Amino acid sequence: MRMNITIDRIKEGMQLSENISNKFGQLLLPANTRLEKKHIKLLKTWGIQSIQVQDEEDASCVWKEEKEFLIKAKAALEKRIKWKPRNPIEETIQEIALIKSIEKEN
Amino acid sequence: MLIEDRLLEEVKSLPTLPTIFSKISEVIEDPRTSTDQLAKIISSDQASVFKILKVANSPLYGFRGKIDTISQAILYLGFEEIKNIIFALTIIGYFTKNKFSLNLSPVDLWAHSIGVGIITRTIGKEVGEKKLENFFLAGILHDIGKIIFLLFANKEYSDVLKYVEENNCRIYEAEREILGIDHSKLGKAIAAKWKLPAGIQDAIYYHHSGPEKRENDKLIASVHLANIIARAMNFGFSGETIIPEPAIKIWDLIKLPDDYFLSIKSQLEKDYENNIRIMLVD
Repeated sequence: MRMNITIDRIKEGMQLSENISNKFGQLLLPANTRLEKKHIKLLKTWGIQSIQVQDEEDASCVWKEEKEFLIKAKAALEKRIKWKPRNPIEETIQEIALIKSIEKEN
Repeated sequence: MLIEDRLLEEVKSLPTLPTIFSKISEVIEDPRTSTDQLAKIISSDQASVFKILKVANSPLYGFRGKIDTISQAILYLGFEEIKNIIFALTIIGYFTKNKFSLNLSPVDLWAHSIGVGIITRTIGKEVGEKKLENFFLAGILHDIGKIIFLLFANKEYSDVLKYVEENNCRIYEAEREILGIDHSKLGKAIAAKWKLPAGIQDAIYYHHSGPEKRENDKLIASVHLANIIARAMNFGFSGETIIPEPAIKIWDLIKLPDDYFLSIKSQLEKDYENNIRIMLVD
């Protein structure tokens, strides 16, 4: 589903549902672009007032899924690692364990 | 008879390793042996030659693809290192031939052990150890005790694994409770029987607790740390999902850059995949 929203309500992660061109007809951003900070800046520079995006729910749903995934991976790791890092290298060891358990899930 | 005593008896009665290994051992001990003589003996087993050359050419040793013959391998890597590679291949081959039916498969255990071997050697090299030959083998054999348990105390070992699950404890704690002896003590007994260097025996014995003011502390510390890293990297399966805390004293012995393991992570993965293929596949 599409939504028309004004420039000041645009958030990173939203996905364009149509091409955006400037007033001269030049393509600024193609449809399906997932908006990053630099894109939003570009749109503001060109004075774009509003854009069509995929339903806001879509974007935040994906993010929620990814975040839940990370929370699950961290929880699983807590069962395996019962100690706190005492120095930077021990921190990296725990980082690696987290990276590898995420890789495994994927 | 206590299980502990029975196991130590079994260790004593373990069949001797395939003749090619004892022949090689003898020949290497003899100071008069030339590279050519040694190469000849090793080359008598064509299947082994192929595997030995592949291991020698693995990135682990840094001679990628330059080693074409056993003579060259001996020249580049040295007698001791070649002997240890042959030993590792022999042991793994010998023990994977047996079939078991437990939730701890010997193949997964060997994969873990090979991972530890690779990481131990990599650490040893990074900290500037001159005598690296024992690092790879010590890592590979650190859990040999578990293999012996699987061979000779198969039924009791499933009780051990159950105990671990129920009590959420370390495998060695469950082993001590149920079998009266843990795999590091049994492993050391077997390493002694095979007349392996004292450093390797110690590394097996102390791989849980870490260095104990002994001569081979750096080797012990490396195996101890490699065991932890191998678990973090999910290299094979040691029978436990726990990633143990490093013994704090190792950091005084092994000086590594803070981001060391992050920086070598992909190289370790490649070395691991490579060596698994060579050493575990027939």
